[in-house]
Amino acid sequence: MMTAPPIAVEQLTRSYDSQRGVIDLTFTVQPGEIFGFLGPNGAGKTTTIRVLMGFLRPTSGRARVFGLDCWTESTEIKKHVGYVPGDVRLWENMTGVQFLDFLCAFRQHIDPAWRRKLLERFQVELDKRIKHLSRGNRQKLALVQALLHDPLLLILDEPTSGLDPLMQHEFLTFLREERDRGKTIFLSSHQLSEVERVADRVGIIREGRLVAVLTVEELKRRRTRPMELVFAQPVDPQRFADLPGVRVLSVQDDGRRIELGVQDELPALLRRLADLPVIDMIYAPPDLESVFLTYYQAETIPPTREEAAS
Amino acid sequence: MSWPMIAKTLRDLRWTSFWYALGLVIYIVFLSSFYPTLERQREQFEQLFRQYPEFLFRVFGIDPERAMMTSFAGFMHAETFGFIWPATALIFVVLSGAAVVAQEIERGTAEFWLSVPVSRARLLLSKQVALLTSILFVVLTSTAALALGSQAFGSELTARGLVQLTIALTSFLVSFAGLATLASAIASERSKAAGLVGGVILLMYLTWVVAGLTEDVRWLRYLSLLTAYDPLAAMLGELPWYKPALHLIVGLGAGIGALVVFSRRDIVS
Repeated sequence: MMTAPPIAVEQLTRSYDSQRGVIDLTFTVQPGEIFGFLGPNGAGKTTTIRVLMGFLRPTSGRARVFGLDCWTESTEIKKHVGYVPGDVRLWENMTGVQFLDFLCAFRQHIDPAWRRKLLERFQVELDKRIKHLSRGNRQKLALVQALLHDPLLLILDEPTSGLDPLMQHEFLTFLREERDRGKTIFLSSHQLSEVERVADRVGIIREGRLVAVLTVEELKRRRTRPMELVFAQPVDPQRFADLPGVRVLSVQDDGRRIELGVQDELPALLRRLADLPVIDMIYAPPDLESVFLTYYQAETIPPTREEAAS
Repeated sequence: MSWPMIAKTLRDLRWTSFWYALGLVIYIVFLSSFYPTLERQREQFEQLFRQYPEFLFRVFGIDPERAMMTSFAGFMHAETFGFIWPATALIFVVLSGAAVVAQEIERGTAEFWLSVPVSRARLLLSKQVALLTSILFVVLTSTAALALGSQAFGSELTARGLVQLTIALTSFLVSFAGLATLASAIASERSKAAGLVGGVILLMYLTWVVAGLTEDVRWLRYLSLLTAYDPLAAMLGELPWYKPALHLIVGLGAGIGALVVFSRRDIVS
């Protein structure tokens, strides 16, 4: 069983009565990699994960985990999978320790030392009733329960939502360590920066369809970061036309305000800006929309803005 | 069977079961205490009751040809086990049964217990076993209270009658618990599951009342599970075996149906 890829999805379609779901997805997750599953809200990430977990039956196509069918052999699959749902809702009247003990009771063997290590690392509040816990603490409980049986595959649906930045960093570091221990991690997220920090490969999903599967290095090469420039005097957008990896996204106030899309080709751009009357500059971190810009340029330029030729 | 799931479900149901059981026990003992007074003035009460229209008795589950207040069993049937007890216990069973799946899907907690390496059928079966245990607790405390009331207020209930009453009450609740878990396995909201079974019970009740009023539609009684509910015969030790058997068959059938439906359905919260 373990010679088969941790996740293999072939032409998977899952449609709801009136909603789209996912359409014709095909991808494979290799052993020992962190696979980022990137897409905006409503793109189909959770639907895909629910099929992998055996909660939803595929309309057509196949989804396999370690070579086992996700619908008919779901019980066997779950021995080797840790799962964190996208919308973590727990039993409010349980304490943290009762919650973990309940889910541990279904597993064959939980190493007490491993459990202690996880609880210390994520500083989980165990004694309070869950209804009195903050969202971040509930999320930490959900993360720990997925890790307790030390599974070969982690399926995580937006696992850092609700965590504070320090804990997000700690958790992503932990994921890299787990990957180095040979674990496979399927990480769904709508945050490009998060996926870029930990993933080896990325699948990009939009409107139910898989747009691309690529390495993080390829992703970084392809995505653009928005740069907003404010000038003291009007500037002709053609001044940026010849720069490699730079695209004019919008021009406002007769050229006093220009938005660029920059593909990490900064040196030539900075030299050009040094000759121009720049009074303000915002260089935003890369976001998911900028990735889609690469694939759907025409669709993503805001229509209300004055467009310029690139 | 999954012991962790049985234990958790019993824990979830413990206070609900306790309060329903306690309420019914208090009611039974309280009503039993009135019996000596009634016995002393039996003739006057019987004359008074005969002046009421038959419809009024039927609505409260009393067959006036069989169950007037002429005995402790008849009195307790008319005052408790004919209407108040089944109505109260059914609320407990329907709400608890409707919660087993639908409430967990509605609240989003189902994704956790469905991510463990145990089949859906075993998980739901465990919840059903816990619900059955709670039903037994409510029934046994009620029959114990009745036995106590019978002893304390000088009446004639036999051990055979108490055992048959336990069987009648348990099988009656099992039939509706099965239907409630089936509705819960189909629905994704507890209120929808409970509403569906509540509607079925109401229809069965109306059918049963109407069937008792006139000979022309007497056949309607075969459409209602309430027809097979006969606590008076049970208390007298004369319960026909097919009545609880019918309830158990319906309950087990619906319960198995719930396992099949739940194993095949999509989980969308």
